[in-house]
Amino acid sequence: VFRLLRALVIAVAVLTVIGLLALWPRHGVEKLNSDGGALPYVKATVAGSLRLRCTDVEVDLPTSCTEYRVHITSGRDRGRSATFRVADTDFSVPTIHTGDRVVLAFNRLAPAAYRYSFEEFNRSSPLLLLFVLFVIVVVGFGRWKGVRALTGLAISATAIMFFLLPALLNGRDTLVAALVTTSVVAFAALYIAHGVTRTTTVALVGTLLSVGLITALAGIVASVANLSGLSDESFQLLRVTASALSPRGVLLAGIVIGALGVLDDVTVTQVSAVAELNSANSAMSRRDIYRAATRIGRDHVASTVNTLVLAYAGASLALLLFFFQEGRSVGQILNREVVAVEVVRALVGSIGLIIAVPVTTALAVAVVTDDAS
Amino acid sequence: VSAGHSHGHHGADLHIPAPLARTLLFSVLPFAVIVLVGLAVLWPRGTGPNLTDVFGGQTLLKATVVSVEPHVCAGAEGSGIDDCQIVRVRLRQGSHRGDVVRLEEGGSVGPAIHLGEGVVVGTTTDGGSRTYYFADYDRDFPILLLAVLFAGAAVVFGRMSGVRALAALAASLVALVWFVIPSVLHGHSPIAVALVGSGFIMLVVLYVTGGFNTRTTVAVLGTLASLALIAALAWFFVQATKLNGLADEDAAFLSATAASVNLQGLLLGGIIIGSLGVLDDMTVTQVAAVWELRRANSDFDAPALYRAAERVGREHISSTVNTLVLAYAGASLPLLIYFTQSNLHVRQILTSEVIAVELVRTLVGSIGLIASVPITTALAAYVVTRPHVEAEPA
Repeated sequence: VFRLLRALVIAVAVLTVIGLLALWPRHGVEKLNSDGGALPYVKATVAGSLRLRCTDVEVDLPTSCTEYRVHITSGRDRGRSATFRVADTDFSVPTIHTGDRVVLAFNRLAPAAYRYSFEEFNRSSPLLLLFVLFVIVVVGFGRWKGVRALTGLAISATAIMFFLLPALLNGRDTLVAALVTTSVVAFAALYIAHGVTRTTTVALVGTLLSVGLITALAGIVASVANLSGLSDESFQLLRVTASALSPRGVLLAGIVIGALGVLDDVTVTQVSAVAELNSANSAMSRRDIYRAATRIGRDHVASTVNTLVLAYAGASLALLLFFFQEGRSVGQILNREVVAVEVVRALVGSIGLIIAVPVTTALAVAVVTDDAS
Repeated sequence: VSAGHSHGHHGADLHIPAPLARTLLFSVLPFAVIVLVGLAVLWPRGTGPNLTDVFGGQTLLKATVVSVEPHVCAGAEGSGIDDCQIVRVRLRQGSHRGDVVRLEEGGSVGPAIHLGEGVVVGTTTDGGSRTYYFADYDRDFPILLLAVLFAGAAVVFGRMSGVRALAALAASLVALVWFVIPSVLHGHSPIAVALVGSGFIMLVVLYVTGGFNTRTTVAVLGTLASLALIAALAWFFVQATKLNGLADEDAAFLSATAASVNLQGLLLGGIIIGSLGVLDDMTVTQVAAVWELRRANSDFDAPALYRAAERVGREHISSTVNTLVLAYAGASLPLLIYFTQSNLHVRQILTSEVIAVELVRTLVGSIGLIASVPITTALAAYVVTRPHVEAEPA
C-alpha cells in the first residue's frame, strides 16, 4: 500500500515542479506609479497639536483643522520639526495623540502647510513584538516541531508572495497557478513540519486528494451560483489595473488556499492518532484502530464544522452588520454575492474536511498495519 | 463522543471519580451564569437603526430571464460604439408577478446575463413610471444544494456527532444573527457582546457536540482559559498597533450610518469570534486523544498520557500554525494581489492598517491556540488518571 502512495506523491511532486517552471513569472510585475504610491514616506513622532481654521481641500470650504507638530525620525529631514493638518471633515484619519508614532507622506509640490500628510500609524514595533511572542510560543511548546512549523510557514508565505501573486499578475492561468502553489505549500508544510516519514506521506496523500475534491466542488458551485469574484472591492480596483486577471479564478484560488490550512491539520491529526494508537496497544486489529481513530476524527470534524464558519464570520463582522442594518431579509442577504462567497467558502471547505477524515484514516491504518505484519 | 457506549477494549469505560466530576462542573457554572446574565443585559430591545430610508426603500424581486437581444449602443462614457443587450424578464414575485418587463441597460460593463437564468431585479418608482434593473443573480438553488451536500457529508460520516455538530452550528448562527449583530447595532459594547456571544456559542457547541459529560467539561475549561488569553492579547495588541477598524470599508461606512458602533471594539469582537472555531477544535481533539489513549492502554499514568497526547498535539500545532494564516490569506487574496502591484515597500505594506489587522488576527489567534494544547492536555490527563474510588461518593 505504502509503495503505491509513495509513487503517487512522487508523481505529484514532479508535476508541481513542472508547473513551477512553466508558470514562473518571467516578467517583472508592472507597478502602479500613479497617485499616492509614489510619494515618499517618512516616519515621525507627534510632539503637539493646535486647533485652527483651514480650508477643506476637497470641497474648498473653510472648516476646523488640527495642526500636529511632529519630529521627523527618518529620511533626509531626520531630526527636523514639521507640521501636518487634518481637517475635521476628513473621516479617514483616526484620532491622533501626542507621542504617537506616525508615517507621513511627503509631497514637495504641495503648499508649505500641506507638504506632509497623515498616511498611517507606525505599527512596526508592536507588530514585531507580537510576532516575536508568536515565535516564542510556537518554539517553546512545539520545540523542534515548532521550528520546523515556522520554516514551513515561511515557505508557504514565500510561495504565495513570490510565486502565486506575480504569476497571476503575469496573466498565468489562475487555477493551475493556485494548484501548483497549494501543492508546494502542502509539501512544505507537511514534510518540513513533520519530517519526511511514512506517516507524513500518508497525510500528504489525504491532503492532496481532498484539495482535488475542494477545487472541483468550488469550481462547479462558482459557475452554477454565478459567483463572479467581482464583489471584492480590491478586485474592482484590480479590474482596472490588471485587466487580464480572471476574477472567478482568483476567487477559486482563495477558496482552495484558505481550506488547505485546516485540511493539513485534520489529515496530520488522523495519521498521528493512528500511529499513537498502534504503539499504545499493538494488539489492536485494523478495525479497532480505524474505529478508535475515527472517534477522534469525529470529534475533530464536529468542531471543524464550526471552525471555518466562525473564522469567516468573524472576519466579515462589519459586513454582516451593514447588511442587517439595511433591513433586508436573511434570504436576500445570503443571496448577495459578497455573502454568498463566504457561505460557499465555508461550506465547500467543510465538505472537503469531512471527507478527508475517513480517507486519511483508512490510508493510515492500511499503512501502519502493513508495517506491523 | 461515544464515551458512554461500550467500544472499550478492556471492557470498561473510563470512570471519573464523582467528586472530581462535580468540582469540574462547578468551576464551569459561574461562567455559564455570567454568559446568561450578559445575554439578558445586552439583549437588543426595541428597534435598531434602520437604513431602509437611506436606500430609498428599493424593492428586490426574483425573476427569470425570458429574452436577451444584443444591440449596438453608445460606449461607456462616450467612448464610441459598444455591444449592449436588451434583457426581458418574467417577474416571479411581487404585485406584478407574471409580468414580462424590460431591464434598464447596464451598458457593456454590466454582468453577462443568459437566457433562462434566475435573477434578482430591483425596482423603483419614479413619478408614475416603474423601472426595473438587474440587482444580482438568484443563487438560492445552488447555495441550498451545497448546504444539503454539506449536511449530508456531516451526517454520513459523523453519524450522531455529525447531527449534533450541525445543531451546534445552527446555534452559533442563531447567536450571531439574533444576538451579536443586532446587539452591536444597538450600540452595546462589541467586545462585551462578542465575549458573551462566544461564551454562549462555546457552551452550546461543546456540550451539544460532545454530550453533557466530564469529557466535554474538560474541553470547556481548556477553551475558556484560552479564549480569555486571546481576548486579553487581542485587546493589548489592537491598542498597541492603533488599529481603529477604519480600514474595513464596510466598517468605515457603518461609522457614518450607525455612529454608535465602536469600530475598534467591532474589530476585537471579530478576532475573538473568528478564533473560537479553531480553538474548540483544538481542545476537543486533545481531550479526545487523552481519552482514547487511556482506553487503549489503561496502564498509562498522567505524565505518560500527557506526553503521548502532547505528541498528537504538537503535530496538530505544526499544522495549525498554517491554518489561520492560510484561511485569512485565502480570503484576502485580491487585496494581496493589489498590494503586490503597488509600489509600496514590504515593510510599508505589512504595517498598513488593512494588512496589520490580518496579521494581528492571525498571530493572536495562533498564540491562543497553541497555549490551549498544554492547558487542556494537562487537565485531561490529570482527570482520567485520578484513582477510581469504588465506594459511594461521600
